[in-house]
Amino acid sequence: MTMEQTNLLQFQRIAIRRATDALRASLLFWPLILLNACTSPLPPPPPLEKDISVTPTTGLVTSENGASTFFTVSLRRQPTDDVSIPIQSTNEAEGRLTKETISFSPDNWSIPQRIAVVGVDDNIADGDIRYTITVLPAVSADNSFNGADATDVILTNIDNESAPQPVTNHVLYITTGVIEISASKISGNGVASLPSWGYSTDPTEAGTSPGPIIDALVGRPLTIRVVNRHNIAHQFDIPGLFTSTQTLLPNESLQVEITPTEAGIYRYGDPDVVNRSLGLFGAIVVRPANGSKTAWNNGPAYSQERNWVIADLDETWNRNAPAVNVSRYNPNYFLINGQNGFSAKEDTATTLKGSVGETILVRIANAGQYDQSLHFHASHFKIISQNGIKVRDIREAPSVTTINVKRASTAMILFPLAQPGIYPVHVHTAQMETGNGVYLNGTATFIIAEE
Amino acid sequence: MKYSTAILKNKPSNTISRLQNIVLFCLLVVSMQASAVDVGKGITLSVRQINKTFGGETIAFWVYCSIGGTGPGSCANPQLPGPLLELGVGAQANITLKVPMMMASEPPPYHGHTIHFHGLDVSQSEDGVPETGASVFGDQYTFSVDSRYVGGHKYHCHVHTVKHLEMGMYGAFVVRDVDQQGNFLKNINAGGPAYDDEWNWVLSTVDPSYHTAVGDSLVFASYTPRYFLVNGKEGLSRSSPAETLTSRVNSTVAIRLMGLHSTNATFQILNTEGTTQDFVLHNMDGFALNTPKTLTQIEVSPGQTKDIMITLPVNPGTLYPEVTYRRLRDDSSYSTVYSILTFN
Ligand SMILES: [Cu+2]
Ligand SMILES: [Cu+2]
Repeated sequence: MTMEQTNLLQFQRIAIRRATDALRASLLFWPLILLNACTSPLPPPPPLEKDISVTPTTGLVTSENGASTFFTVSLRRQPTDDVSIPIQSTNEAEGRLTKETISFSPDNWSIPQRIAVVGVDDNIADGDIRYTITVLPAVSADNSFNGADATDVILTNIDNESAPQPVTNHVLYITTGVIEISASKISGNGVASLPSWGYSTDPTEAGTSPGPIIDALVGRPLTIRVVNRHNIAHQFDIPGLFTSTQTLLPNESLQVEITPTEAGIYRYGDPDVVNRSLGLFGAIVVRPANGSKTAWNNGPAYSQERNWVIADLDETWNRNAPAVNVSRYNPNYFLINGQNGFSAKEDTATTLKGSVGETILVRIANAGQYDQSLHFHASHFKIISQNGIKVRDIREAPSVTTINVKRASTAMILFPLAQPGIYPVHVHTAQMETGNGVYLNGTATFIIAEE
Repeated sequence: MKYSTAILKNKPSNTISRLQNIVLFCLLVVSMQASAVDVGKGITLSVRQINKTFGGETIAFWVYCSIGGTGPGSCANPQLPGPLLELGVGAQANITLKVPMMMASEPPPYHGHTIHFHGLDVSQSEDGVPETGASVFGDQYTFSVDSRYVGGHKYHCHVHTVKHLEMGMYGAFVVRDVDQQGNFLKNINAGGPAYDDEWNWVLSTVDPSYHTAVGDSLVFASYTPRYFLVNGKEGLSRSSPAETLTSRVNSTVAIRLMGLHSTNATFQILNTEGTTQDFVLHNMDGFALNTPKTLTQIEVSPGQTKDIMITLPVNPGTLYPEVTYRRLRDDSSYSTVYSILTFN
C-alpha cells in the first residue's frame, strides 16, 4: 500500500478475501498486522489550493459586443500578511482583465472579490473562441499562502460577425394534423395515432404541433398572416406581443403586424384552452437587433441556444374534440418540441450538447395546461427571465437545478456545460416522466458535454 | 439525535394543561426523526420494505436505511423518509449502497436501485442514473462539494423514478459549512447567517395505486394523490401535527423544504390569529441567493429545495408552519399538512 503526497488525505480500501480451509470451526479470529510504514523524505506540504477559492471556473461567456462576465475569488481563512494573486488572460484579443493582481490583506481577507473579464471585438467571422484566465501562484510573506495556485477559469468569447437575418413575412395556416404515437417522435402505450390540429406554412401540408418557430429581431417589423383552413372558428394571439378578439371563421384570415421591443420567447396560438390543447400553439423567438449572441441587448452572452416548446396532451381530448369536457383533463403525454423522452434525447435541436465550458441559452415556453417542474442533472444553472420579466443584474439570477415552468408561461435559463458526461433533464413529477405510463418518455432530454 | 436539544428546551407552559403536555410529549416521541449520518465518515445504506397506514389503508413503502445500529433510520428500524445524510464542505462522501436481491424490488427491466444525489451536480459515474450507466445491483458513491453547496439537497432512487420515488426511496441531504477543523457549523449557507435550530421537511405525496403497479403500467399515466406528507406524516390538523419543534424566543430557525412530491405545493407560517408571518428565503436548490428575500409564502415544486429562516418573536408563543399541496392544472388545494413551532 502506497500513500503519496497527493493522496495522503484519501482513504484507501484494503480488500480482504475469504479463504477456504478444511477446519469446521464456524468462527475464527485472526490478526491483521500493519507493518511499519517506510517513508521517503518529504518536503513540507505545499499550501493547499483550496485555501483560495475561485468560482465559477467554467461556463463563463463574454462576447465581441463587449459583454463582460465575472468570477469571484476569496480566501477561506485569514492570512497573517498581504496575499497578492497575479492573473492573466491567455488571449487578450478575445478577453481582457480590468486588473492584473488580486490583493487580500489580513483585514479585508473575508470579503470575496469579483474579477471582471471583458469580451474583445474584432472584424473577423472567427467563431466562438475559448480562452483561459490563468490564476498564478499567490505571493505572500505568509508562507502558508505563498505559492498557493488556485484553479484557472475557462471562458468563451462569442463571435458577432455572423448574424443571420430572419424572414419578416410569415403565413400560418390553421389545419388538421396527426400526432403519431410511435418510436420515431412520441413513445408510449396506446393508440398508434391521434387526430390533432396544427399550424403549417404550406396550405397543402398537415399542420404541426408545435407550429414552426418564428424568428424575429428587436425593433424590426414582423408580419404574420393567419389563415383558418380548419372547419371550425379560431382565434390567434401572442401573449406579450399581440392580442386580438377577432374570430376567424373557416377560410378567414387575420394580419398580425408587430414590432417586438424585448428579446425573449413568446407563445403564439389559439387562446381557447381546447383549441390550444389540440395542438394550436407555437413560439416566436425575438433576438437582439445587433445579432449578438446575448439573451437581450447588453444582456448575458451565450455560445449556443435551444428553444423548448413544452406541452401536455390528454388523448381523450384529441379523440373527441371539439366535444370535450373542459373540467376533466388527465394528460397522459408530456412533450418537448413535439416529442417525448427517447425521441427528444436524439434531437440535436433539443439536447444540450456541446463542449465543456460552453453556456447554452435555453428559452422555454409552456403551452400546456400543467405546470412542468424541470430538473437538470450535472450543474446548477441561472434563471435569467420568467414570463418576460428579466433579471437585469445577472448576479441576482438564482442558481438552481429545477425550474417550475408554469402552465402558459415562459422562461429563459443559462445552462453551463460544467462537466463532461451524459446527464438527463426531466420533469420531476410522477406521471409526467412517462408517455402514457411508459417510463422516461415524458418531457425529458439529455445534457451531453464533451471535453 | 438532532432534535433532542430542542426538545429538552421544552418547558411546560402555564397555558397548556398537564394532559395536553402528556399528549404533546407522546407526539414528540412519535415524530422523532432518524439521526443524522455524516457521510464524510462513510456509510452503508440498504433498502427495506415497510408498511404504513394512512386513512385506514395499509401501503407498502421501500425505504433507504443505514446498516448498523438500531436507532430510527437504521435497517433494524427503517423509517420513511430515509435517514438524514450530511456532508461537510471539502470532505469526501463515501456511501455504499447494498441492494437486497430478493425483496423490495421490481421485476426487470426496472429491478434494483441506485442513489441519485439531487442538486449536488455529481459526475456521471456517481449520478445514479441507470440509463447513463449506473449499476442497479449496488454501488459505491464518492464525491465532494465546495462551499456553494452549503444548504438543503436531497437523495433518491433513479430507477424507474415514477415508481421508486413514489415508493418512498428518498431522504434529505444537507451540506454543512465547516470550520478549519472540519466541524459542522450552523450556517444557512457559506458565509451566511447562523441558525439556532434546524428543521428539515421532506415533502411527498402518495398515490396508493403506484405502490402495487409495476413496469410500464397504464397506472403510471395518471396520478391521483390521496395522502400528503411531511417527513412521512400526514399532519391532518394542528392537534395532530406532522412535525413539532420547540425552540426559544428570539432564536432563529432554519427550515429546509425538500420537494419530493408530485404536485404543486406552497409553504407559509401562520400565527395564532391566522396572520401570515415574514420569513427569509436564503437558498434555492442549495445555492445561496445573492440577495435573500423576505416573503410570506413560497412555492415548492417537485424537485425543488428552498431553505428559509425565521426569527422567532421575543415573547413566548406558538407559530404554525404549513404546507398546502396543490393541483398542477390550477393550483387549487388538495390538502394542508400542519405543524407546530413553539418557543419558550
Ligand atoms: Cu429504486
Ligand atoms: Cu431528483
